[in-house]
Amino acid sequence: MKDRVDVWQVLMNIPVLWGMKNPADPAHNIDGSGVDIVEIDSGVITSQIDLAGRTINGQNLLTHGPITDPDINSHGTHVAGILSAVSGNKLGVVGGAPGANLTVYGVNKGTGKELDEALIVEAVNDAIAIRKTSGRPMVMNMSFGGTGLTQALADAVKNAIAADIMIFASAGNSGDALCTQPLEYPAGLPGVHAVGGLNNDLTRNKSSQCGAELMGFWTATTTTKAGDVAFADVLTPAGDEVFGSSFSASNADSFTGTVRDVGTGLSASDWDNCSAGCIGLIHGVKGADYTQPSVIPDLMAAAGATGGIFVGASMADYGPIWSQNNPYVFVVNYSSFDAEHLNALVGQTVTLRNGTCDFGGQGGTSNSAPQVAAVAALLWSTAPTLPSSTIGAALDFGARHLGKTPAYTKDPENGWGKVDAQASYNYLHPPARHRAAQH
Amino acid sequence: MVAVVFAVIFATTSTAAQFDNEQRRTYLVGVRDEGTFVRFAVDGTVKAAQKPRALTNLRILSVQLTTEEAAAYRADPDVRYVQEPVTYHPLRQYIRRR
Repeated sequence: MKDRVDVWQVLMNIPVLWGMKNPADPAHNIDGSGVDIVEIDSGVITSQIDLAGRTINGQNLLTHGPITDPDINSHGTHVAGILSAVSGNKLGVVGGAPGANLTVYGVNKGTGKELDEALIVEAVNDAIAIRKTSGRPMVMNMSFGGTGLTQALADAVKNAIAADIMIFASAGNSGDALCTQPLEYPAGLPGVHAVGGLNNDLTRNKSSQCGAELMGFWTATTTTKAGDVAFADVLTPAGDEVFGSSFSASNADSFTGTVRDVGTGLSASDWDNCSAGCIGLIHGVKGADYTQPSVIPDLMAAAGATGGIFVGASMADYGPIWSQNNPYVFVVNYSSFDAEHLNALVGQTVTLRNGTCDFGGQGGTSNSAPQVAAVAALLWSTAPTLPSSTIGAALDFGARHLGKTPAYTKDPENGWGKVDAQASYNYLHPPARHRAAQH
Repeated sequence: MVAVVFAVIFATTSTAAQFDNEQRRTYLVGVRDEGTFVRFAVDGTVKAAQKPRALTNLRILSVQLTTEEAAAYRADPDVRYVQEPVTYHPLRQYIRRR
């Protein structure tokens, strides 16, 4: 299998850029190379299997020790994966800008639940020094927030912006339907690119603060510490692992069989071609009656099927069957899984196996900010001599407008809208027909 | 000048144990020039890793001070502010588990 492209990456048109040659470095595709990404967070587990293949610079500022110190919270590890997990290693996820230089500053207070503003300021100061020395474009991510603010952080951020560093910060997770909650800090500081979170249907997640400049997505599949997430592996005959963050393991430890499409699996005829040695690929239907716990298990038993993979598009689909803890069925949340991978399983003999994994689905605007920061790194890598303000304008004007206000205005709920990597790239590098029209 | 700064930092490290660290808290201090930094260092509280860099006219330092020292520094004309840091939280709402 290939690295898994996550839903947010598709919805933001990021794979289009990955597939293009970088105009600033035509020998390579666009992957963020040449851009520094600075992550200020709880730290990072550098040995995480999808991060271990890359160099991660930085420091644990609590101890002033190396960044290889444990990330006891694991939050920073999640964010690091969104920003820049290794691409092409057939593992887990792909970072938004896998070729960027990643520097992580651990700024825990000690428990991992809180971050220390003094250390944050120190991290910003350190990053400014790197920026001034290296001259490389620099994107900074701050997936944290709070209602308090001191002049010190405001000044540190101001200094960073003066050094032409692009700062992205999470809007906050305390939003509401009526937009009564202001942006948290540092997202609320002038010059910081505040990022809110969308659901996959492009509506604002109501827990995301309104008033952000740009919108990323609320959820992401991310890297986490070893064995952090209970999980079901699907192994193909070749031994490849089909990865899906939302697999829910059944009671069975494992079973092996050939995958057959059984439609909704709700009628006996659905199972006609799925008996011993067969694993049914069951397509969940919103509103279907899964409330009778025995429906699918009984039909499977009557047919003699070995097991099933239940695919739901939303909690309304898969929730009821999931809650039954069905002994034969592994449940998949379709919306966060690559449909191509699932359909490709039909006709293959696979093994489904309970286990734990090093990847998990995470929610919150902590995900949204690094998604957009990664897009900024991709864009900047294609035009490294441009100032950050031009990259920011490309993000704003390339975004898909979502609000009720007129197009090309900033909406009070969704800002400039959903970030679109391809449209922003076209803003920076106008297609030839547009350039010709300018002459 | 660099040698002077390092000498001061070295002296700082060796004398820091004489201070009553129980009474000290972290403050964020905005200072206007390196001379101010040297005065802080002489007081034995600035860590080497926090030494200011020639970045801007305003440097922000993380410093361990007693309440009295913080008050004294607030009165220093080269000190723009002395503030206690606030706390931030990672903005993760949940991680999906089985």
